[in-house]
Amino acid sequence: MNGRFAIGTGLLVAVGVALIGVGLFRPWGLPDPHESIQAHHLQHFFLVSAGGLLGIALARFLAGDKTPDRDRERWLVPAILAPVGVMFAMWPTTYPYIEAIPLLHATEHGVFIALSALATFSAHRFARPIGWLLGGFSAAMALASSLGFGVAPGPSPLIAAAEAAQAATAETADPEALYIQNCAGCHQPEGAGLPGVFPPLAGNVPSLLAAAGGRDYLKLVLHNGMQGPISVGGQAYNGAMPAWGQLGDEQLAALLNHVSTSWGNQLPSGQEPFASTELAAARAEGLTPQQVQQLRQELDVP
Amino acid sequence: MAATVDLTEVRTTGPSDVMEGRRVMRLYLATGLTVAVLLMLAGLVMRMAQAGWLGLDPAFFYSLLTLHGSGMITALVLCGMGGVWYLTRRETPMSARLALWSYGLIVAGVALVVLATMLGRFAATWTFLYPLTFVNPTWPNWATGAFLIGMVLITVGWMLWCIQILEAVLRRYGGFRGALGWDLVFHPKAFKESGREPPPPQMLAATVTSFNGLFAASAATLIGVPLVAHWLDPAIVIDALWAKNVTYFFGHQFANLIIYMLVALVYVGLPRYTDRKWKTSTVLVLGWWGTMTFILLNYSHHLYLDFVQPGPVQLLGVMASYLSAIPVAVVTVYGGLMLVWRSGMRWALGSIFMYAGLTGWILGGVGALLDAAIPFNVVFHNTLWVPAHFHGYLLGASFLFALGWVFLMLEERSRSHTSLATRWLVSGTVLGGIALFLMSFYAAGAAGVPRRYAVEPEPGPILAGWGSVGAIVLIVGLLFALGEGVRLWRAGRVTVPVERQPGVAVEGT
Amino acid sequence: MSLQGNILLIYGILVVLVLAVVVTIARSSVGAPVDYARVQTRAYALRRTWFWFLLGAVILAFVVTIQFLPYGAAEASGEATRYTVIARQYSFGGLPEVIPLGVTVVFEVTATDVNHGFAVYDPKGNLEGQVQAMPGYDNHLELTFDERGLYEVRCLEYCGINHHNMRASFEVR
Repeated sequence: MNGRFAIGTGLLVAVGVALIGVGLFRPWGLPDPHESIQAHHLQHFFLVSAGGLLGIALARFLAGDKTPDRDRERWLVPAILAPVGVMFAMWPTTYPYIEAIPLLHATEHGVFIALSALATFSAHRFARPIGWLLGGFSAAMALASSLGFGVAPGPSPLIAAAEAAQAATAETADPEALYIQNCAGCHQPEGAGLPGVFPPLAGNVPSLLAAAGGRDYLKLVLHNGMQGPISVGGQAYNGAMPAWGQLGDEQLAALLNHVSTSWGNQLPSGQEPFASTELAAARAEGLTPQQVQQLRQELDVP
Repeated sequence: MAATVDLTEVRTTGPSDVMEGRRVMRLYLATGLTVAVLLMLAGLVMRMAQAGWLGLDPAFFYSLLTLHGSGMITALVLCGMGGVWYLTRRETPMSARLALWSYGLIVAGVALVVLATMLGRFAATWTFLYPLTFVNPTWPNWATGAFLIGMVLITVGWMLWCIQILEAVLRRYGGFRGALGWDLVFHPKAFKESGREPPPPQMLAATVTSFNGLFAASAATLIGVPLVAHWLDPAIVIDALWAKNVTYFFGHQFANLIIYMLVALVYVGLPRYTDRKWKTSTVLVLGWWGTMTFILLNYSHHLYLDFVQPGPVQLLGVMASYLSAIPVAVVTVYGGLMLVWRSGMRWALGSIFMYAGLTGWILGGVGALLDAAIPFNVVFHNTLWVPAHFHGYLLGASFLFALGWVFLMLEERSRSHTSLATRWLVSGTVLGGIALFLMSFYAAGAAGVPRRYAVEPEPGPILAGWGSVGAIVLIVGLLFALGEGVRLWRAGRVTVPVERQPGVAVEGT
Repeated sequence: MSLQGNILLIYGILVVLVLAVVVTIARSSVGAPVDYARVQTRAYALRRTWFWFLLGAVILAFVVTIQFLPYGAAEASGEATRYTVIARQYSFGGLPEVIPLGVTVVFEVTATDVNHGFAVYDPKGNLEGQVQAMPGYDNHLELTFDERGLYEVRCLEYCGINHHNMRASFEVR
């Protein structure tokens, strides 16, 4: 290979090694990767960039500036899959043992450099400009990951504020208004539901209350939500009901009493109206929506 | 009126290579157009449901909508890929095997999307906007995975095509400098004196779409991998605003590139109905530089109503959206109109559809520009105005470009010609149907009827009725077109003149 | 007429203009062809004018439309009445029953689960304004209601299979 080509290759190696140094030793006040996932992604961005340059350098070193080989198509497989692999390697779950065992951590960093180098090496073997392009895209993806992959703002403070405000007004909440605001969107203002989509409450709640375990089921469904296929009055439903645990026990009791006594519904004889204390007791039983659906399947209802 | 077809501008490496290119193109076009027409039927079903003519369970409506969106985009992308592949293959050798791999990966991806939506009732719509894919899904978990993996396969197939086309044009024209016509613009005298030719217009389309396509593929990977990771481990958090930006960058790029790929067929096809040529000029090159830049920068017009987005990004979206109209209006459509003006053009179905498509591009574009003004977007966002303008681009332009090209090929090789009556019948029903269909969307959008509503508030249903009528007329027209196409095909073949060898100077090119 | 009605009218006029041009050019092509070189000379000159006209229109449109941005309006409105709106599948929480006429209000909109759209329709059914409701972010929409009556709120970002039923309402008086 001629002089200029050799110098160019050497330069790539030098910059690549320098970028690894920047990633590992963080000069110029770059953030500590242990501080946050964002900082960690940034470190990986430097390693991916470095790997990309080293991959091109290696390809140049091995092939010289000759034209690419005839069987170059097979290089496209790693060329395309390796950048996807780089993105998977940005998987942000923290593994404690990676922190505890330095060799594992070093291996993880080695994986970034190796995958990125493989991407650009293979792409370069296919066609030189493609090597540069895929290297650039891999680095850009690694950098962009730090803005949202594994990092997200928590729920808006407005939500907690609204829930606190709602809990504070629990005693004065009108059950009808609570129902319209929270339940009518799916179950409809008259409790008719949407056939095949959202089960009816009118005519249905009394059967649930009458069945053994039905009253408990109603409390659990409000606290935990429900998801999965059920049958109501011979009609199949396969939807998802969100959990309503953010409403206070007072409000949930008011709602249950409302749906048990509206639209022709009546509480079965011998059953008292729902009290907030029994809702509070049911809240402790944290189930998944799928487990609640299981309970529903076990009820003996039409 | 030009009565014969001039094939002398075909530059190839030999007749058998052209055949190979044609076979790949036919595979892509046939698949793409078939899927597109099937999904038009799905679209009709949805429009009729919105009109109240059919009762559809909302879960099915939304999963059909998801299939329609993902499937149509992919089908039209396939048409564009096939067309550009063929046109590039005429200029330089490329491996058909890679083209078949791209095709296979995309078809496999589409199959998974069909399974996810029709069997699994996956219903997150084609924009699969995080976190909707994962929150309270009314479909089984496997369907989410199937859809995401299907999109990954489509992305990989697409990336393969982009790399192949880009490598081919860079090799053929001497890097980005040659492929993008740098010297023609900045050293015109030296360039002319050297006797070199700039890449033909369709090759500029190939360069820009394959290069920008890699941006789309990277964005797809950037959002796809985190979504798959979340699917496998729901503990992984993703920033919803970041996800929205990346998702719309990918979707916007991918959908935009459809029309810019298919216009390559118009650059080559429309002149064949005249005795004029569409050549690369400095203005054409500058236009494509503009397109390349602006369609990368204007994706943020999908996020105007996220007030938390940085202000400069919003303004850039506006400016880049407006500017992206200029290359279309000044270079491509204007060039097409110039080609037709007092040309003695032969008006066969091929040229009718291509010309109508250029018109559709302008009309869809005006709708888009109006929506791109932020104060107007406030009242149009997520109403039916949005599908109005993008169906203008996809149905009223891209689909017509592909259809026109198919008729061009049929007409060139057929002993028969389409009668005047048939031309009026086919173009009247197809174009009339499209017009009525689009008008119903525009009117509904102006009335504030929301998009993606299984059940619409008035005046949605009544306008959906008109839209359904338009779609039915369109589909009937396409059946007429199919009949005419088959008739041309079976009317016997014309002997095609022997194509010239490369390197031989051909007059008039 | 509403803003949208006016825009549709403008659009209609532009459609007619474009079709007129397109049809005229198509009709010119019937009959004997004219030498292309002559066509090109005149067309290129016209194109230069067309380009500058479009560029001017673009810049004008940009300068004019950025005077009417909805961003920052909420922050600028100081003492406006603020309502927190929490969107979730499939309801809007926090809307008051009554909003005073002619008063500037700011809706601080967020979501608990997925992307929703908070869109306000006036009593005549015209879409007045909208903003996205996103999990983890607050968007502030500033509106002033000048008409008495029942306003409808609809969800305008697809949020699941009951998206089309997700709505709320308030009265202005």
